[in-house]
Amino acid sequence: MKGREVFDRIPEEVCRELETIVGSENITTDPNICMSNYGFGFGHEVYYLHGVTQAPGAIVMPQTTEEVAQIVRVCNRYGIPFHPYSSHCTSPSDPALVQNAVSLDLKRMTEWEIDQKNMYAIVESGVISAQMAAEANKRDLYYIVSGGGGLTGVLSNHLSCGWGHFNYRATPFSNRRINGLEWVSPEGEIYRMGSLANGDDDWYWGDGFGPDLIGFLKGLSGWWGGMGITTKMSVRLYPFQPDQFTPQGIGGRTTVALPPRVKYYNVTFPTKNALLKAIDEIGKTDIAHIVNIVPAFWRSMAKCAGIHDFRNEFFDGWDNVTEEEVANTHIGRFLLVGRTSLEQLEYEERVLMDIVAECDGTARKTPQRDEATFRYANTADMWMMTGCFGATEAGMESARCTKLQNEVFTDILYNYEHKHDFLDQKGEFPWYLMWDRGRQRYTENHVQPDARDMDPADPGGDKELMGRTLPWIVSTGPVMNLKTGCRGLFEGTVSPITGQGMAYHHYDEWLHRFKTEFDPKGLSGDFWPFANEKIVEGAPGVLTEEYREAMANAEKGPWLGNPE
Amino acid sequence: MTVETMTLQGQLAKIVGKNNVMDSPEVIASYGRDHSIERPRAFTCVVRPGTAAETQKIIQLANELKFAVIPQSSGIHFNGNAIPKEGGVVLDLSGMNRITEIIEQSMAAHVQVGVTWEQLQMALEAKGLRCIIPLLPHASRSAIMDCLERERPVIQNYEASGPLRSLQIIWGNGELFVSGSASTGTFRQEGNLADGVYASGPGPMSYDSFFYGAQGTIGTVIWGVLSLEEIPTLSKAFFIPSNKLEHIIEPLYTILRRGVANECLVINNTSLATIFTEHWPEQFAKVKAALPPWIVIFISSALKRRPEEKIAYQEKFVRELASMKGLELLTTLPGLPAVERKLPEMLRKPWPKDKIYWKHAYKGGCQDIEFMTTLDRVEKFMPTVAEVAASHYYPVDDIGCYIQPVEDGHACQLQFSFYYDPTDTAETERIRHLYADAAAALLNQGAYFTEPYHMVAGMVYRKQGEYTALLRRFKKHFDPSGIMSPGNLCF
Amino acid sequence: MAVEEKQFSLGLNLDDYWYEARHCDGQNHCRWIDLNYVTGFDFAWRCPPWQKEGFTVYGAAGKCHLVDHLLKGQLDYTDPALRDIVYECMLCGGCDAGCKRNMDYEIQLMLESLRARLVGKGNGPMPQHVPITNNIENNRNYYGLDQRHRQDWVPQDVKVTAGADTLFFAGCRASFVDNEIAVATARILNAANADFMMMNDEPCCGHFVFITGQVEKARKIAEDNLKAIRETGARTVVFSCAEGYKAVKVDYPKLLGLSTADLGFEVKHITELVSEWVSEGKLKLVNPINMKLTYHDPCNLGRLAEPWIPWEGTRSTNFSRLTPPREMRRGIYGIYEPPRDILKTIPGIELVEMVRHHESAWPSGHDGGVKEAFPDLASWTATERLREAASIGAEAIVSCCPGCKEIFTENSKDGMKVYDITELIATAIGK
Repeated sequence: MKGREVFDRIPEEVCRELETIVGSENITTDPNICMSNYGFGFGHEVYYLHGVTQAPGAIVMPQTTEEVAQIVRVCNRYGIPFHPYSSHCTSPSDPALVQNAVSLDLKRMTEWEIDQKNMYAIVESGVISAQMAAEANKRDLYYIVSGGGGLTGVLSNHLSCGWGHFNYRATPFSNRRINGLEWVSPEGEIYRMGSLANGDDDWYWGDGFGPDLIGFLKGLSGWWGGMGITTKMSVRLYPFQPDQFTPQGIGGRTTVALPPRVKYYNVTFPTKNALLKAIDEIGKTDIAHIVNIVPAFWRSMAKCAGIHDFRNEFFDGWDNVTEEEVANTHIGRFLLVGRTSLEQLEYEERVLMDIVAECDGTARKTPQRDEATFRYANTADMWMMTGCFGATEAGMESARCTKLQNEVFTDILYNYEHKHDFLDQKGEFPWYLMWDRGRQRYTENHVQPDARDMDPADPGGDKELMGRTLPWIVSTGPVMNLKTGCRGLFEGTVSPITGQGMAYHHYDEWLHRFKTEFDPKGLSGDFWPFANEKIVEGAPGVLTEEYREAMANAEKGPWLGNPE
Repeated sequence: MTVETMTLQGQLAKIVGKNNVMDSPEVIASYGRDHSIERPRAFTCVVRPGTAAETQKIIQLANELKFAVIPQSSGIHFNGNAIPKEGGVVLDLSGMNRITEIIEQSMAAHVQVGVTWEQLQMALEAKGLRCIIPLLPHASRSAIMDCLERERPVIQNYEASGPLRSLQIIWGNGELFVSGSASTGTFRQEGNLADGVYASGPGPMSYDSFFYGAQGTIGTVIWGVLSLEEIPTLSKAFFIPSNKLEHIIEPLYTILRRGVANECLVINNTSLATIFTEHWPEQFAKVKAALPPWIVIFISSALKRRPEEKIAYQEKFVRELASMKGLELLTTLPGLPAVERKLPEMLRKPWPKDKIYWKHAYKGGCQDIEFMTTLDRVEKFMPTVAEVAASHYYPVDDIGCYIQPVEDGHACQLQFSFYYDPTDTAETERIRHLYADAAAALLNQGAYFTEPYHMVAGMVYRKQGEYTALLRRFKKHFDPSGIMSPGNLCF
Repeated sequence: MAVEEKQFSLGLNLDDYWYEARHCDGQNHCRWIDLNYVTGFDFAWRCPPWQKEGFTVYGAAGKCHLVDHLLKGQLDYTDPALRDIVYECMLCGGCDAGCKRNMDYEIQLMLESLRARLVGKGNGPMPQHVPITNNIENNRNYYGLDQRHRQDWVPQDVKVTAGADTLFFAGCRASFVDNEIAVATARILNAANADFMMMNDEPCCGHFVFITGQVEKARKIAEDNLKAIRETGARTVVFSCAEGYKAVKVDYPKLLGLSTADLGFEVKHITELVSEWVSEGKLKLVNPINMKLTYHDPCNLGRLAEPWIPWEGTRSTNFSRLTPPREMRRGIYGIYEPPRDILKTIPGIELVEMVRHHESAWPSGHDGGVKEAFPDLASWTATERLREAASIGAEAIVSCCPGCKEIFTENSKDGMKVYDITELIATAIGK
């Protein structure tokens, strides 16, 4: 066993069995190691700082699906909770909610293979998105690095979020981008889904024999470790163009230079409506690979050179940006790809410029390099501004719905009496991306408080701020979603499922049924995906009256879901 | 008469009205058979609800009384899955055929399950839109059901294979549900601007995924949101003929990869001739003889903006490719006058209702066997099917074959068609045996049957015991009484 | 708003890094190289102990959480298991550079302070470090050899000029073990007509003592050595050893509360001078060396070599901004180009770049006391680097540090040649 052997948390006989499975170098009960193993990811401010997540009692590092299944069976035999993680990076990466669980660190599972012709990659849990993106690019393919960034696990990201800038032409429903997988059920059975169930070499297609079971493991979000462990997966890659990106630059401003058949355009429009109209018009064409609006404060972040600390540099810049400037700056960012040929790129550029002209836009001089899209995505700078990345809601739906969501959020934030608790966004329109070739839009609404203020253990933190911010973060998103219809993504991570299920046909009951079916002892990922219920238990005030009322009213209807 | 003494028909009539419960022998005979080799079956009655509420009550009653419920959403079925296998009640949903809304800005249509391709296509055409449609489907087929039965669209680029988004569902346990972004409780209330264009969720599961390929065993769909496409302003059809399939697979990968094809399919002369023969039977042989054994058909399309320029760069690419690979690139086909003008239009619509369905035009019946594979594996299945056909004295030359690439060539559906005379009992029986043997041989070779119909279901589920056991664990929650289409899949 | 924190300074007090420890949210930029430079599945890691051992505590993100728990009293500084974890790290600065790509956390300083804290609590350094420390204290060199023979390496024909403006500080390794480096450097200086002197009793720079967390001893060495250097009157101190270079340029000021600019002399690596001389025409690299080689960035010359800038201040109530703003040392302005420029000038050399280079360079495995206390990790790290060199078709790997050269030489199999850049320069100028 690695490190100090301690058996006051998990019985020695369990540890010895686990050691037999993974080898002595790949298991530890050392508190120095275990206690350093949690508190990562987006949930840091909510779960870790508030004591919701717990240190594991043991960490094991399996290397094969069979080892994972054996570990799970041992845990079942002894009634010990377990939870997996792979990249240990974004989202609630270490979701142990009870003491003395077994953490399965899947980083040793790093097998990978790419079928270039049929455009898919087979990966195990330890492979990250940046690696996959790089390998795909070598093969005239691209991989969708999600908003969580290139550091996220390929496999885990497909089961949790699985969307990013590149979802303009590849479905954002990441379960539909999964061709096959190996799943260790919460009781330790190994199942194969997708075409992999048909044979060992059949990793190419995700439909089931009849019903598609991959959809069980991924909906709008995922089970966050609460439904067993997926160890191996085949994911789709997408046709791109044959030339490589060239990395360049140093330090905080590294970028990739775009190859000749890939080109970015930053275009300024006179009004927001003109920008949105241009985006709508692009959606009616068949051009473009990325279409988005980058919020102003993210643009300010990108300008920080890093000679001094980023945070001061950011605020030195952002503090001098006026609301008027923000209100009058409307920049769209568009990526064109000459997938067929350079002639295609030229054609698409002409079409884009036609639209720009019609909408009174002006194409700005655009550096043909990119810092984030192809590798880093959000993670490049998201914690930089205040130390806390607090997404209130993210969602996707139609153009009109998403626009409304953004307007509602902007308005709520602008008129919030305690808005100075957060980074002043100056009335800025939140993230806005176009997906599914114009059929959907995606948005993320962020608030960023000071990380110190969110920390109950920080004697210098502002307890009152934390006291009112948590309810704001947890309750505002779901209420907005019901007002606008925009489908939120943070059930289970930011907001509790159980409290919202009633507004969505009581889907939480289905989750409970299947959780009971497949994890009768409740050992897989402890309470996930019901982790937020733990927060609510400890702090019932986080669910505001407005929230409760909105849910209850939604349940009553009338709604299209009600039988006529 | 008390409820207890009322007949089942009586109880159903209380829900839907007595005119919507039918059990005459003619009705039973009609609903108890379809165009497949599945044997006709008898059952209790047909019930036709008009609303989701009525449908829900029927299913709830079924749970109480334990009778089987077999949903049908149109009168046209080709695979036997809508025939009651264990008696019960056919739930005819064809009357729920309202196109609730066409939302142009979201390129989506909100339709009930009984809406047919023909109905939908006509409504869309008026707005310059089109369905994402399989190859010449029967006009009276339900659009939603064809999506759920994974009829692969001819538009093969982008993510077109998944045009269905939010669904309203009644599970086999009688609970109402909405999947996807329309699940919001305030959907269609004032202020809620959602269009239901997002398929997954709510929460950690994609509930819609259980309905794909389910053959009515999980529940029933009431309405769905379908993603649409615009009708192109300009299209140009290209044809690559070949004597050998192996010569066109590699170039096809390139064509798909480089994104120059909107609609794209590979078809053999038999199947193509069944589509283009106007005068049966005399013209068929001549049409077929004029065609090459294999044809890649793809359509380059452009929308409103600079359409000629788009077609130009795509054509330039394919011409260069053809030249490099030594392929013949045609813009028409010998023996099919003006096919290049007709085909793009045809591929965007269902088969005309006033003509015998193309699959039945040759001999009256057609049994397809289809499965998923990858383009580079397609060839290995050809000799297998030929051998099995020959062993059943089926003329190899009569076998139809159609390869539908999916999503830029990620995979493909391979379909073999066996034409036969359904009025000839002996021939039908021979086709039944041929089908079984072909399915078994193909399964052994790695064919991936995502829609296991007929006896294929038994073969697949016996072979994949673990998967079968897992499916059953889900089924017992969605349909605890086992009332939904028993006898289909592994249930 | 948070209340203003009390003043703190950038130094080696672990308590001052509570913000880093508490607010690391585990993004893992400390684990992977700059993602824009990732070329595929291989060679994407930046942290050897984390990659080899696997458990998160071996990486900086895990260490942040470790420190958080230590500062809260939830873990025991005197736990021997803790010591092993803390010292199984090269302090290569890779994690610091990775994190600082996007954030302002002082990870390297936190890790240095962690070692200092353990030593302060009597739980460090590693037992294997003790005899070497004794050597340095008692014999003034790493090896415990007779210091009177320290300059036996100086060839007869090398001109050493007492009182010159430039002091050549050869270092323990080049003086006692790998004389070629010292000899080559001396010849290069002569060839450029750059008069240089040497100290009569050149001491150990003390890098080993500092890097193993023995801060008080290191501070004493720094004080004494700085005094001795100043007494020579040198205006420039030149090193061919990256460790010595960094020790004097960065760690002495850090230990003594100065800035690099306050030292009173310039600290240069020989490659900085040679690069200038070549571009000025003072040195001509004319003899061809026909070889395809790759350059390994030593941590102590690259990302850890930026001048030390003291800072004292607080975190304000305004989103915890540092007040005053802190000029950051992100590792991007280390000495990266001069060695490359030199190699590109030598005729016959084909210089190819490994995947992990500049501030994302993989360490050699030599430093941090790891070679002494965790030889398997050190050897594995070096082997990985050699594998990376081989993967791009290099015949040889070149570095600017005797320590790197030593460990690469020990682990080189399959014919990969290992050089110090001074040897190649000396060959190219015909010395």
